[in-house]
Amino acid sequence: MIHIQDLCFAYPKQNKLFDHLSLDLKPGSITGLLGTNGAGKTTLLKLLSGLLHKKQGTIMVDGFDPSARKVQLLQKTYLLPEEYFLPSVKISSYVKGNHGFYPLFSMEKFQSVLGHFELSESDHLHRLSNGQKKKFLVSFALATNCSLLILDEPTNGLDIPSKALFRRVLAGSIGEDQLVVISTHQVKDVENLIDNIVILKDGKVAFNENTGAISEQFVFGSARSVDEASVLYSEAVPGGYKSISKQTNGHASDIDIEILFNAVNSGTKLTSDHGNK
Amino acid sequence: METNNNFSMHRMLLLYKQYINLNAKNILITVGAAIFIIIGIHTFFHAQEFRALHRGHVSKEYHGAIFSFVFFGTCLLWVGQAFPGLRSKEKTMEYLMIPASIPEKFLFEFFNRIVIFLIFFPIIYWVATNIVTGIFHSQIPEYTDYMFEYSNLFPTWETRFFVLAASLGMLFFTLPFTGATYFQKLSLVKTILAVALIFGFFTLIVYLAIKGFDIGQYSPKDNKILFMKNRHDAQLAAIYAAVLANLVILAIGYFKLKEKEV
Repeated sequence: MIHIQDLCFAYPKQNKLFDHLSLDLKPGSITGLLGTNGAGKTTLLKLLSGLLHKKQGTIMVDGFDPSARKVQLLQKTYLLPEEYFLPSVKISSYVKGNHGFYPLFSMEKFQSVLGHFELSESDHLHRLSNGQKKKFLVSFALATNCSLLILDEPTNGLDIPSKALFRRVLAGSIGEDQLVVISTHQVKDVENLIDNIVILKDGKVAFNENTGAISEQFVFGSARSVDEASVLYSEAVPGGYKSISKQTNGHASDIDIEILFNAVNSGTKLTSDHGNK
Repeated sequence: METNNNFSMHRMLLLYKQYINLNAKNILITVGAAIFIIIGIHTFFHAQEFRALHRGHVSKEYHGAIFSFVFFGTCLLWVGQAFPGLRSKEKTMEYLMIPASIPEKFLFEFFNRIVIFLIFFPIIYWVATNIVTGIFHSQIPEYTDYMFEYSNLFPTWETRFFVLAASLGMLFFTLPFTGATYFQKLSLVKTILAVALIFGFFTLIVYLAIKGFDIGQYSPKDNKILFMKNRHDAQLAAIYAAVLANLVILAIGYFKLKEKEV
């Protein structure tokens, strides 16, 4: 679905943001694209959407170069940017004016998801709060049934119950042939939602692994003290430590995405080939 | 499903459907405002003319001037708002992600901003002007039986001169149209400033060449290089240059849209 090879990119008069970055993502997953502020998450999503043009390397999405902005690819791609524009119309007018562009758009699905978010088609977009606008856009995005959904910081502006609802709705609305890429720096927001974790660091993919493999390989634990020999990474928290250790007993462990993120960002080498998986 | 990546009438209609659904209120306000302004201007000038009638002098020549002023003024305002989807970073992202090809988006804007204007503005203008004339005539029958007709606007113009004026007049459409692809904020103002700067620069060069270097006195021996030998040739060359300028300006707009990044 997504194939990136040796991608180099820099904004004018700035240092290289991506330096020979490579990444492959397959359909049928919800991928969390994580990274610190300025790591290049939004830029990578824009490159995947064709909103920015690469300087060097290869980017292919479903066999297309996104910068060519071919209709066939645009019909399969929906980008929900972090900052968006919504016209001053009712939800029904917006949908009437836009749904035709997406051949697989499902009105039934749209109404169902909108209902889950407690919004109505007669609501006026300009009278919605920021969180409600985000919910509307998520509803529209899911209803397009695009094979690639790109969500940039989708949980920004959502309150805590809405974040849980967002995770539930998204998990229940995605088909096996779809790929969802969610970028966020609030890693807790996508815990238990994503099944693939990609972490950007220093212009490269520092970590790329599916959650099944992570929980088979590592144990995420809390302890009062850490046994230095088996622990790959640990950090002090009130009352003890949080740690990542190598899996030895074969029992799958729950992933603590925050500590995994911190471990990768601290430069801890968890495995040998995670970067370019 | 086979999709034509470059042009589909279905997607053009979708762009129209989207435009109307999202801008219905603005379209009505714009048309209403245009009619109101045309009626206002004509009422003012009819009132002036009516006063002139009492002085024994009635002039209808102002129709050509008013028409030109309102036509080009409205054209600048309307065409200057082309590509509304490029007016902010957020809008640009949404606009570029709409599943329609660049040729479709460009043609849609060209049609919507230029072709539609050229079709509907003369109709709206004719109706609004004759409403005012009709009202004045019904109230004061001896005042005028004049009816606004386009054939009366520029009766003395030769065809070639008219074509030249039309080709040059098209620059009022193509320049703000392309300017709208270049500038994000205040695109019309920036386009006017940019054109004024370029025009001023070339005027200065020509002035310096003629006055400073006495190029007007230059008489080449082999006059084959001067393909314009009379007024007719000069008009024809100006028409070609104006048409070419319009095409080049539109091409620049197209490629700017195609290469747009955000």
